[in-house]
Amino acid sequence: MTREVTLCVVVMVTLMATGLLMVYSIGAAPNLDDTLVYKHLVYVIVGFAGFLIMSRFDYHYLATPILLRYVVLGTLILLLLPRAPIIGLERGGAARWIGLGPFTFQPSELAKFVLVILLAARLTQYQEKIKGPIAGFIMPLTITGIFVVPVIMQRDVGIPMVMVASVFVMMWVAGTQKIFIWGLGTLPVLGFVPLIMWSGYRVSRMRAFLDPWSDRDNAGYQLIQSMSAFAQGGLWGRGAGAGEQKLGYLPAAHTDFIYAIIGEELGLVGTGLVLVAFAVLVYAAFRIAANADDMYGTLLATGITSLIVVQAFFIMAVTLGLLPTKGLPLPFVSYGGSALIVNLAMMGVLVNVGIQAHERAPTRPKTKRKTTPKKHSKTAKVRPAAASVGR
Amino acid sequence: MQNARNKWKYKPAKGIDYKPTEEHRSRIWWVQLAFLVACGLLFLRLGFIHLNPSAKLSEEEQRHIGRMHIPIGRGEIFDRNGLVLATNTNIPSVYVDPRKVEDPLSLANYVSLQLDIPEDTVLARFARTDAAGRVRKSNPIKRWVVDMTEDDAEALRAFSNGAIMIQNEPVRHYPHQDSAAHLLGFVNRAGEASEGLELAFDDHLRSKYGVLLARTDERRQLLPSGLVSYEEPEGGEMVQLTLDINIQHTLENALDNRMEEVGAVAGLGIIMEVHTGAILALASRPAFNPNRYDEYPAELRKNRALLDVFEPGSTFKIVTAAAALEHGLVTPETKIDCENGSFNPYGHRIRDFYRLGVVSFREAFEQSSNIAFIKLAALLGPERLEEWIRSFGFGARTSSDFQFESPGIFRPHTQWSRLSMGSLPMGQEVAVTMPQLAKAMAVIANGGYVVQPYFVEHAISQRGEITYQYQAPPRKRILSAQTAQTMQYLCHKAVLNGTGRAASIPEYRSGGKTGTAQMARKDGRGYDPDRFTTVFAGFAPMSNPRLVGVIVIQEPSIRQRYGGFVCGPVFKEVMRDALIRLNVPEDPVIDPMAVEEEKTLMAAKPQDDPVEQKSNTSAHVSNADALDADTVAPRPDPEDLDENLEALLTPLDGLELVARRMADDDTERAMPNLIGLTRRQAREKLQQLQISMDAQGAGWVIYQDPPPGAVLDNISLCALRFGDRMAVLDDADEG
Repeated sequence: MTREVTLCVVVMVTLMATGLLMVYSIGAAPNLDDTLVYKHLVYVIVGFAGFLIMSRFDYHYLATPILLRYVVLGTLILLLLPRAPIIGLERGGAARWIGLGPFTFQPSELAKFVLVILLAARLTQYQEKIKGPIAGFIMPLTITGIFVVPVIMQRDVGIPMVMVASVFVMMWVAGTQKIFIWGLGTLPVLGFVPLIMWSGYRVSRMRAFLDPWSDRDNAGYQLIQSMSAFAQGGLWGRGAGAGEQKLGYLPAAHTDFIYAIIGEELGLVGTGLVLVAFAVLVYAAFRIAANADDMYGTLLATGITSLIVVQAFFIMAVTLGLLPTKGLPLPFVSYGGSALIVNLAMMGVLVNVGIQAHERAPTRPKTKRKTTPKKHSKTAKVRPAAASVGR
Repeated sequence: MQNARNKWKYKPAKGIDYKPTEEHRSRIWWVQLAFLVACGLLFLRLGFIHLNPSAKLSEEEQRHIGRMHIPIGRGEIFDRNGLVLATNTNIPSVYVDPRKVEDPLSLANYVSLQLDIPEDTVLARFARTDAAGRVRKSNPIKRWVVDMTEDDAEALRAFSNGAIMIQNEPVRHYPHQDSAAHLLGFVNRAGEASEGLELAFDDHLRSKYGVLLARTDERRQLLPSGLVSYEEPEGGEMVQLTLDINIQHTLENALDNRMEEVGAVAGLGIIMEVHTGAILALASRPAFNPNRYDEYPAELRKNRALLDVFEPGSTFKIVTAAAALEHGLVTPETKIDCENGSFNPYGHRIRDFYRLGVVSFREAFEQSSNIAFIKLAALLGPERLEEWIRSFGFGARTSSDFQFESPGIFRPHTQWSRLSMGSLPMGQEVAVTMPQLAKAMAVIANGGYVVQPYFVEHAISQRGEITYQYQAPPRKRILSAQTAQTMQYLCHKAVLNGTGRAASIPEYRSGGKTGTAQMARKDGRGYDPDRFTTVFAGFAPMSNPRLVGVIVIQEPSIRQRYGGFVCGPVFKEVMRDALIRLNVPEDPVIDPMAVEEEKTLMAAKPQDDPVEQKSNTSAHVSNADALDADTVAPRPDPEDLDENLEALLTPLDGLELVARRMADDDTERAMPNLIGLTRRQAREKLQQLQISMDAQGAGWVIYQDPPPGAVLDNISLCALRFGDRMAVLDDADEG
């Protein structure tokens, strides 16, 4: 196990532990559901199982054409299901979920993972022509569009933004010409401004972001409460469990705005630690991407890391009042089944990329020499990676 | 590597094994850099928002602090036995939320029928806006709907579909309704003390809510450890009166009944302890109900017991008599010539009701001879008369407990007219209030001390501290014990044989003086021949006077408008009830032999009197030996016959009653053995004895306190412990 993989796992576990603590703290508040932490624990266990499976599952299988075909098709069908009559769930005017008994599932979370797999495979396959406009620009944007449009139709803007941003990073890493990248960079401005204008509640959210106190009790309320939570936390925080914002003051405290509750209860120490954890993830996961065995692994690791980190930074910025309010869970920390499970599965893939790079094509001479003899004996077996990960 | 790949069951996509180049790695490095820069920006923001938030943001925390009012009601008022006289309750008020009114016309119609107010008014309330013309969330339709039941409220709510709101609002409640209403006063709807005790003791009764600042959740529920500050509620003190509401009820009922019988306009009454001045009952009838004070005219709310002044009439003779006795000018047996009922001393003819010749002073007092008292006053002279009138407390307010009290009308002797010496001794040319009269009678009843009437015993704060305690002024003695006792005896005689016979109580010997005075004309000068104030002032029991009572009935419309006849029965009824309630030992009216004994005793008294001023009495008083006492026995007026019959019968009745009681006492005086009885049996036994039960446990009585056979004097409570009957048997075996 390489240092980078270890770091990634440590970051992941640290964040999940923080998340469990905070979900417990918030759920214990009298007016919330005190079974929240148990539900979250179920998601953590399921997600961790997914992580273990994916970390032993050779990521190259994900690019198998027949598998990819079925996965992509299945995901696109799932994306339409929230609109289906029986299993579709609508919350707050947005149909994003499908119900599975007591648990719900958000297909858009899965969609971003599948998009990254698909793009990683395609961008690798088109490496020869990547400098051209079709392979480097039109193809990835078309694929992205196929995934993003149904999600936008679900009146969800957060996840599409994260997806587009991650695709942007992947295209950059894959070698798309800089001129296209800069062009794409202006797309959010050109594309999302009309999108924001399109729905009224986003306009008010925008205004609330620019001056939350102009509509203190309605549009600006959540942001003020969120920022106030940080302010109340100070350096050391009120202490775990002692927060007040979760007592009905801050809506969505256990999901999108859990970072603010961390700020209130654990102070700058807690929020700083979470931020550092993601910074470490940025360092370690992109090292894994850079050192991957092949271009497909590199792009897969890049896409996965981008999805997680962009989402994390985005929602942190929202809670801190740096970006307009968008509902997104903080990866590994927030309560929310689908997102947690998908994120953990993606981490499994990332770890698998790291392990395989270490075993097959280590870029650093030191490790290469040491591991070479072992490698031959183990790769003789069908699933060598799994055995080493288990340690 | 290629080998491994070839062994895959499914072939990967074509071209998937492309290797990343240095360019890719450097691009990844740029991505890393970009993300770390973002990370740094976030960290900067974190530092600022955590450690140096804007003032606006810091203030936000203050919104978590909830301000809660801890209400305490206005202090309650209790009588001497701890019965509540004034407390707090809620009365529903009806409001409307104009925004929720769906069909104004039909709703207004319904509401107007339900609440008995015009439909236009209701519609106007629906449309009412605030000063800025905005629709208000709640407009009052009718406040304090006293007779609204819960069902009515529910029907209104249901009909209006939530537009009509019914809120309970705190108001003062007087459980005894119009009883002692004038004394207590009332608190108006706005919560302001308006009259009477409520106003006088407002500083003690008034309450200020406490303020609790505490951290709360968003729904304003207090957090367990969220106390920020606490300001205790203030005021709301309990005030305990010397009043006994039961005696008050008796007094009021007796007054009401008598007023109806004699067709009177108003009735006043006071019952007071003679030694302390504590007022047990103070009534002014007709009264008003303070719970609905706004339904009564202001005239009815006036406390006539304290504000009405009247000429005391013959009751005032106690002052002249006491003064003359104290100065030794007369003894009870001193003979006075009553001029056969007609006398013309100051150019004005004075008449007596009974034509008396030369009679003893005792008889003159009994028959209330005006002529005799004018003669005594002449002996005293104006200076001494005025001094005595003032020392008895006339012409001055009696008590600081009364918020508004008339001092009466009494002029200094320098302003007296030629006729004053002829009017004052018989209670004219002076106007007194009822408490003044009670105070004067108390001097005689308690052995010569001036007491101050009061009715507020103490005030106790919410924390249990006594914040007000009545302090009696130092007692001042104005009559010697002998004079007082002689006066008591004279008053007793007046009740037993004289004008006050209707006030004679069988169980308790009483003393008193009647009075009847014409009232001033309503339009001004002179007396109105048709309007009388009748007064009876008395005390009981003779053996050791405990209570003094004054009854005043104004403008009786029957022919027998004499104080004794009109007010006596009220005095009798109320005083008897009060003495029994106070457990005063009986002092029954006894046989004439004892009276005779007493007479000789009293006759002997003046010789022991320290004030030996007998020297110049004989000059004005006729020879005592000239007439036999029997010949001037009172000749009852035919109109008085009914009254006499009653007076004659009462002693016998009294004797019989007392005898019966004493016979009963022998069997009942001991505590019965209750051990082994069931709870019900024990309760029945105790109820027969009028003893309350303090029960603990269940089963059979295993222990009792006081023990069986204990003397029952002063026992009002019996503690019983219940348990298994076997326990009793076991104990018995061991014992």
